[in-house]
Amino acid sequence: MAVHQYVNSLQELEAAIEQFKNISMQVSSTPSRNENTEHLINDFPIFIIVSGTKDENGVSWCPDCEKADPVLEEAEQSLAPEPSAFITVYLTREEWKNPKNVFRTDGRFRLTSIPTMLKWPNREPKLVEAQCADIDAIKEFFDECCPQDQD
Amino acid sequence: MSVLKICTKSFAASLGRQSERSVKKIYRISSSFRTFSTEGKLEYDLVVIGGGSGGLACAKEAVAQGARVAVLDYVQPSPRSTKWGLGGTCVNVGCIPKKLMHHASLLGEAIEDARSFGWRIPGNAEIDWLAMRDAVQDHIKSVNWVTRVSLRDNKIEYVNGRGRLADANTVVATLHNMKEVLLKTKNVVVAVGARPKYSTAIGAQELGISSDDIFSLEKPPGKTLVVGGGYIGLECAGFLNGFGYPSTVMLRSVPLRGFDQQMASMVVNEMEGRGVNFICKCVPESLSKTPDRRILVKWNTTPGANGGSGQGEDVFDTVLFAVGRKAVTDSLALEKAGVETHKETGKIFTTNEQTNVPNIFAVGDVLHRKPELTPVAVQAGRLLARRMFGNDKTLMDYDNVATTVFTPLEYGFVGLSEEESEKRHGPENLEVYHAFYKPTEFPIPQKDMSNCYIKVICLRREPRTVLGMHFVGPNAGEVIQGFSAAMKCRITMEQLLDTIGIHPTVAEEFTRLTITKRSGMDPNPQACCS
Repeated sequence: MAVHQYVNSLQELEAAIEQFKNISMQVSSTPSRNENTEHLINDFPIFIIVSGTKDENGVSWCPDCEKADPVLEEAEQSLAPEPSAFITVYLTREEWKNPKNVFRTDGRFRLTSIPTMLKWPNREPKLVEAQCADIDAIKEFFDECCPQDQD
Repeated sequence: MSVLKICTKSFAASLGRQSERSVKKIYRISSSFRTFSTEGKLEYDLVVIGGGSGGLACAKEAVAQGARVAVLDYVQPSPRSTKWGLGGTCVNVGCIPKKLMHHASLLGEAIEDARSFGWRIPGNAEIDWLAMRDAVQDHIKSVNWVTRVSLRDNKIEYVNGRGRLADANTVVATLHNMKEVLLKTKNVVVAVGARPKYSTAIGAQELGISSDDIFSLEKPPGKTLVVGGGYIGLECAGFLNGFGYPSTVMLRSVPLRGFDQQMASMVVNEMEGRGVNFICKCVPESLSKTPDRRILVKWNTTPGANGGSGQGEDVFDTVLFAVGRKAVTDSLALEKAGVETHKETGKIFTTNEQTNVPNIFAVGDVLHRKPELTPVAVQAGRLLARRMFGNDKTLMDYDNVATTVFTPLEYGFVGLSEEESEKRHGPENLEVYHAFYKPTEFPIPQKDMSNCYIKVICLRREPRTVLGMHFVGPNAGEVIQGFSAAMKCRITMEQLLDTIGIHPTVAEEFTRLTITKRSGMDPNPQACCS
């Protein structure tokens, strides 16, 4: 499960990241019937999804984003590392089509398409376009970003 | 089941309207997101152990031929705990980061050269090691991901686990959580490659690093000792020196052993001219920590060697061991199937990539006495898959494989060294054409051209087949690639000299050769265009 913020600009994104960095998440798990452990986690993955804005009917101008929406939501519920945080950045068509858009040019993102999901602060790997609507690809992406510790 | 609660009050207050809902809710999560099936045994036509250049090429071709394939990949952390993702040595700790760092290093030189061409460049260019490293690592991560997606798109099962044989038709994969998966398979391809060796000097493993670590090093390497004069050692010392880190190379015997020694000496001369310090015919004896957290290295003359730099000691920030690579076959339990390997190197004996066990094959660096190069592993893997599952009977040709050493001034070659040519044919049956040359762009920035040299070895009798082509100079890889196609066509000296060059390039020098070693004439250039 995860917590989700929704923003509309780089500035808001940076603020949201700052906020996530300043909170802890309390996770309880019940590995067996009689046990119940709780721990506070300060360091959890922050995933950023860059997507297209929705109109008054809740439909995005970006068809791939439309397709990805329900799948990403499902993935957040059932596949995302526990705990983790998500921030969706909504860009208008004009903003995204502009070759100078900050999410294209800024070295922290260097996006070439939307929707894109990445794990802050890593520019790579990126889950892009049709991959965002593919539940198996999303599962692999989480596994690639947050590998289980070996040995 | 897990329950997630957000416990910071201020967080809830500061979030936007939409998020408030998610904060207040308590979510129930269904069980584990890792759904890899560990139940039962899975049947495959082919299981490939090793997700590097050879393994992946073989797997993809096998699938294209209709086989059901699984690929196992696993990275044993280095002694410094360095790990990496899917793709093998080339992508993660070999060719790719090496070429990128070599390029980054040359760019620093280009910035300086630019001034003499009229560019006004304020200040001095300095490398930011972490920024360079991050750029390189980002690229590697994108390749890791693309590789992973590609496996999925090709419907190849990817198992991130350590593989070993239970018998000739069963591979056991041990996953990160120590769970074991049994894969039943008709065929096995071992493509596990190799890992760096360390010297036996005291403190080597504890204080030294290897090529496994240099490309993701968390802090600037500083003053570095590279132990080893093979291409890995020379390439690393080369780019580190180019970045401005004082670099020393310690050679046990000769540089680039097994390569054409005249060309190797050109490469070393160039590196010395650029400030790399060479300690010759020595081996390290001990490494120890100094009070200010640096490394004191003590060395002595290589046992049995004459001359050389002699005993000595010095303090370094980093010691990089590039003393050879060992095949990763120890933990494969190859004996469970009876696969024969070389006692010392661990490499696998094969004929046309088949081991002594008919359904077990091997490709890549793990092969005994085959070139350790990505394109070789890729081609061998591909052809093997076609022979296994398709109708193609083409065998891998390991001869005349072009290669390049990416030292500051690069060395590219295809075919035989002068030493090997003499051994096979006798010096009286050879003609060696050679020349020093002046790249057009070098004089203006006053770059040293004294090591810009080419050599072509051919048979003396008709047809004068070219046996080897050697080039030290800029962009050697690009220069030599086309000539390897010519070698495959058994190009003769007449055909080579009949070829008209592109002007002005450095590659055209191969078409302008006139002077032979036998003539004793001066191989230095007289004038351009004459």
